[in-house]
Amino acid sequence: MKARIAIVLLVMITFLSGCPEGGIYYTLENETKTTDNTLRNDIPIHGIARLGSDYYIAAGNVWKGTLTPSPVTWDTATPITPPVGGALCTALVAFGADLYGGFITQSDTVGLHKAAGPSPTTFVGGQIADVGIKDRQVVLLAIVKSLTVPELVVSTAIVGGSPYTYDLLLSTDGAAYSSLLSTTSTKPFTGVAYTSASGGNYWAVAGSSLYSGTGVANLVSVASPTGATSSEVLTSVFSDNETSRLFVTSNLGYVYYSSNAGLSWTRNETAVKVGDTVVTFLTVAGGSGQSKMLVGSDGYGYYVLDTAASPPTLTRFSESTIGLYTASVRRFLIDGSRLFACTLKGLWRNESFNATGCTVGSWIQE
Amino acid sequence: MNKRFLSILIAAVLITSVLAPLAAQDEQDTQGKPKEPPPQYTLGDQTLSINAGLFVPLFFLTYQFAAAPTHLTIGGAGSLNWMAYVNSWLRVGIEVGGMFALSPNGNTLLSLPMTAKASYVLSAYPFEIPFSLGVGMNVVKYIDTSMVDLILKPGVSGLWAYNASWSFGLNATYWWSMQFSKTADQGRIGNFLELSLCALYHY
Repeated sequence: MKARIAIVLLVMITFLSGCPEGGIYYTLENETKTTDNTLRNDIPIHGIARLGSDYYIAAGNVWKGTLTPSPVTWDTATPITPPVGGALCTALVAFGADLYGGFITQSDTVGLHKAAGPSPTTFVGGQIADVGIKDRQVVLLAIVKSLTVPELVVSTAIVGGSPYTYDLLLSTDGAAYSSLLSTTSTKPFTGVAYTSASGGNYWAVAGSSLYSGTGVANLVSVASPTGATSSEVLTSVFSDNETSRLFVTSNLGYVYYSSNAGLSWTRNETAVKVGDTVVTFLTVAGGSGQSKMLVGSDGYGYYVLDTAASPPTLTRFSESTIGLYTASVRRFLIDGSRLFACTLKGLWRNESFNATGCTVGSWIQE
Repeated sequence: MNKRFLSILIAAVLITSVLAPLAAQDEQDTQGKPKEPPPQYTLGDQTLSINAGLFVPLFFLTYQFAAAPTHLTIGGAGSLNWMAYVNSWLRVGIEVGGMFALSPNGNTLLSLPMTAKASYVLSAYPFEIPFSLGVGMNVVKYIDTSMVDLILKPGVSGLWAYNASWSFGLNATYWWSMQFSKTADQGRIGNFLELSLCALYHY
């Protein structure tokens, strides 16, 4: 009799111990089909930019998305003409009235090119001739706001040496570039930001190194955020100009946060894991001065970072039945209540983003 | 849409592969092959069967017995089954199976039921109708969540004896998969129907 009771208890423990909150059937019961627009879902979106009332995405080709009439429609039939046939756009920003794209080809790099606005149609003839840029592979393209003046920052690979080295260049007009570095890096730059506190500082990350400096030829490698190990790859840096907050993401499940422009750092208490896998965080975005920020991850959708908590907490986006849940979110674009998430498998859009709590409505797959 | 087409294609291939021996047997019958006497199975005789067919999601049931839609597509199911005769009309054994179906967003629901099974066999040679009940565990996986359910699988089959060793036929099996949740009102009972073709070997 005791043996039978033990068996019954064992069976019950087996079934109940495997129960997550909710349950699979409950999840299925509440699953609804995501709106899926015409843009292909299997393409990596490397970047997105808004120019005028239109959006442009880098997905190998550069395509234009028109806001009106709603919904956003993507003209994939007529891409912005690449600088040479077969060139793939891997980085894209809008700077001034123009689009800037970093292109590569299978045989050679083709560097940074401009497509003149306000309604760009071609990158042909728009090669940036600056010697620090021309014919070099663009590994990072970003806009930073230095004392409210937008600046274009480009990281290029300097091919020929062994190992390759990487430069980080700054431009105020898109034509002339100056290196921010005192010495080039052997790791590619994956993020750049600017904080206005203490006279202003540029920040950049490359491999395990955090760079900081006040301007041209001034950035040097500085101490990593408190707690970061020497082998920890710092994957991106994001700043919040109004409060001089600084965020650094890593490949070991941490987001480092500084509220005083890098003087002191805090991070989430334990590394974020899914199962046994440590989450690599890729990018941060959010409303200026907001306590909650969006954090993109590699393969686990996005998280919401709550800096009001001590230590900061990270909560994964909960809509597990849509593809965004397991996507690699590499970029966000926040445009009022409209939020775009660029992933390795397509572009996602949300029309009800609220920066205060980082809340969203229904996601649409473009 | 492509995944749905793939599901139908796989089911069609499985159906065809099981039906092929039956077609061959029809030909042999027309060639005047002498019929065998009705087989008599006794204690110690055993069977192996392979089953493959369609998985029809019916509905979910709360533990307050409110029904809700599954939102799943029709999928595929299959199983391997070993049983031993206790006497001429009762066999007991085990069954290991699997199923898949797709959600509205194209996610795949997978289940691997492992059951102890008993069959009460009604025979009218060359036909036999086993009524079965399987009880066991069902490992369910969906996206990144895995759970272990308690499962009951009542079913009935219609089999035609090709000879003393081989029988072929159809199965209709109800899956009653009880899933518990730490959140009390989110536990559900999955109600599914498996319609499959069966090839059964006596030895």
